[in-house]
Amino acid sequence: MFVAGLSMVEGTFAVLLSGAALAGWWLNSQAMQDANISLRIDGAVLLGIDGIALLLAGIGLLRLAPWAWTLAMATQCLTLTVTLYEYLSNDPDYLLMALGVLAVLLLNRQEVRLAFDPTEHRHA
Amino acid sequence: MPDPQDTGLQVPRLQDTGPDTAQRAEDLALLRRFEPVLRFTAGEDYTPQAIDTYLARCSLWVHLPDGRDEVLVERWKLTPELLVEPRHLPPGAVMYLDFTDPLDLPNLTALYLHEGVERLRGQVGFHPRIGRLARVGYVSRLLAALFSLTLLLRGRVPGDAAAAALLATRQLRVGHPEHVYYGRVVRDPSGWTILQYWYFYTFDNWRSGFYGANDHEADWEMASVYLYEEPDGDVIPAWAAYSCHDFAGGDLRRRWDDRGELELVDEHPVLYVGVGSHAGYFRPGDYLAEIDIPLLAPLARAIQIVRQIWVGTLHQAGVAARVSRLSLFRIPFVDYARGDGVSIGPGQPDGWSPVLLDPLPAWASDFRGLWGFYARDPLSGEDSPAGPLFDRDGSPRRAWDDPLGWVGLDGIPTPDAEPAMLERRRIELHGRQRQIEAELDRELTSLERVHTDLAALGDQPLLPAAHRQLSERLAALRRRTSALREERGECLLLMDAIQARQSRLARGLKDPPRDHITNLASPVPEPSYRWQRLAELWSAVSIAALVAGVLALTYTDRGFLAPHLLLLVIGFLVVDATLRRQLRSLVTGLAVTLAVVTGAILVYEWSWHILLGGIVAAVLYLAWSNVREIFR
Repeated sequence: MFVAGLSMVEGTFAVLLSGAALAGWWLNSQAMQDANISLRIDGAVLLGIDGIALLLAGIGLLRLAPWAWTLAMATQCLTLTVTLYEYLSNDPDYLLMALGVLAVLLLNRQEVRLAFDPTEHRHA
Repeated sequence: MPDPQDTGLQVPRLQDTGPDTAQRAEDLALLRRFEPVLRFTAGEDYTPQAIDTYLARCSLWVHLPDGRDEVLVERWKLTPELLVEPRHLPPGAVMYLDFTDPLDLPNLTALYLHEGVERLRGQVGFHPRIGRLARVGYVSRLLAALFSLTLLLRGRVPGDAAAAALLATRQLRVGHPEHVYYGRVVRDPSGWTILQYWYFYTFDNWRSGFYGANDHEADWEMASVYLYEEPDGDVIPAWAAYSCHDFAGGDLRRRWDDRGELELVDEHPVLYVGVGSHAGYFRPGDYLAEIDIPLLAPLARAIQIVRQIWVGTLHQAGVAARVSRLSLFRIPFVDYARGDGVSIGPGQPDGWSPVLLDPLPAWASDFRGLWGFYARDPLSGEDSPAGPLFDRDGSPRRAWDDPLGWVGLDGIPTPDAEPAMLERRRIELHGRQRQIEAELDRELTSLERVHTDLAALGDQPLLPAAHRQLSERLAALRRRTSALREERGECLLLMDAIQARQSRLARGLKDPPRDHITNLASPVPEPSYRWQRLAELWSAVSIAALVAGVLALTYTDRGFLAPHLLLLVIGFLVVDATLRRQLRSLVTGLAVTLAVVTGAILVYEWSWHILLGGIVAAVLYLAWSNVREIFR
């Protein structure tokens, strides 16, 4: 339940962040002149898609759907990659980074994995 | 070239002279009663044979400390007697046999043509099914590639030696088709009787024939049966053990009644022989024989510590569980022991020709050299082994010298001796307990006396020295009585445990058959791959392709090298994981790696805040606990 909530909070945050950034650049014609704007827009769109996927994964996790765990992990990969890229571009988002780390650690807990894949203990 | 059949050597059996003939006949009968059934894998070229014809085909050499090699006995002239003839050799010299000469081109061509024709006719029975590289990940593949490269630098058996050995062995087999084992019976004072079956193979072609770790001329392998004698004189088999690479200890033996692990044909244990390596396995199948890399051992230990924290403290799973096997830093080789080829032993198409090693022949006891080519391999894997009694360095071989310790049976009583041993120990403990009671009585009396004296002296302030002495004595007596009480408690606990075990044994209950096994060798399940041939092809070329890709990018890409390299590696990982049906594991691994990196960045960037937050949290927790205590 907690990890599903976390995923949804993270998703909402990512969507809002992405939406705000896109809207801000759209309204600010000076920002659109920036040489790296296309890369930034790509990043924001990616974050938006990631946020929607996180919301979906959160709903799936609430329903204990096995696909949701894989989707959640994959989207965390994307989230962490984007936040790491932002960090390296001197535009860090520490809150999203911390949420991503927390979500991965929670999703990877033995009891959580077992809840979404009962055959898990056989692989371990 | 003389015909190997004309060496005049025969397989020696029981020599009917000497005072111990009856004992030797009994030993031979015992060996025959429990002689193993050996099941080989289809495609195996070598089976156990007599050493005599092999020796005649060999030349004897010495490798001198100054690097020179000198022939001591020419090919076709060597006999068991000449092998052990006293020789004055400088310290550090290594004696070795040389089984084969390099093949000339016509012979080599003829052999390869013959093999090719047999393959076309479908008579070469071995197929690896899933290749070994397809069974493991990238790190292991990279290490395997590096290991192969080291063969260029290390000493190794020459490339055509396997072909030459095969031809020579086939020649030796003409006229000497019998399958020989060298049997030994050891009667240990502890009550165990050990039957050892030593098998000699002319060549180990695991590397060149079956993608294994090494090739070497000559191969000594062994199977053991551990028996004990009942009061009526009947012998009862309790354990079987097979030599398997360099393993030792309890993992090597299986209990006789463990039907899940030990297969029997009447009273004969079944041994599945690894193709090429000739290692012994209890169950048919493909075994992943991983080789440790000593240089990477500290790294593997560090990962083990991280794993303990990861799994134990953080309750994490997935990547850590895979790392727990530490296979990351081992080179994988598959030992194929399928048992679908030749079968030798009682009730099988081929039987045994036993040779009793009693009296111990000089070739076994006195020749400390190598039984085949000395490749000067610093890792020793390509050097031939020494005889049954010795290791390569001439020191005693544990399997021969200490057959009980070799399988972790030293100090373990035979099942029929255990009840008496337990009773003896119980009586001993009972005696000790009574001693302790008596000692405790004496010490308590002394304690009372000292205590009384001390109480009396308490009223006499003018005798401080006497007071101090008595105080020290009192403290010593208290320590002593405390130790005695502790020992008495341990005695009682041990006696209870002994009585419980006696009761279990009296009811005929046995321990679980695999309690002594730490690492149970189990056949690896056949992995299920998407597009299997493609997966195998990919696993074979992926490392080379990845290295080529990295080089190409490094050379051409000046702008975004790091992200492009990352994308390339991730792309390779995704293809590999898709083919091996491990996409889920890959996603988990990537997520965990990214989380660890991100976590490290957060700790680095926010270390003071985290420390401060931790202190504040601890203080708040303390305050909350104290307040809660007040209002409870």
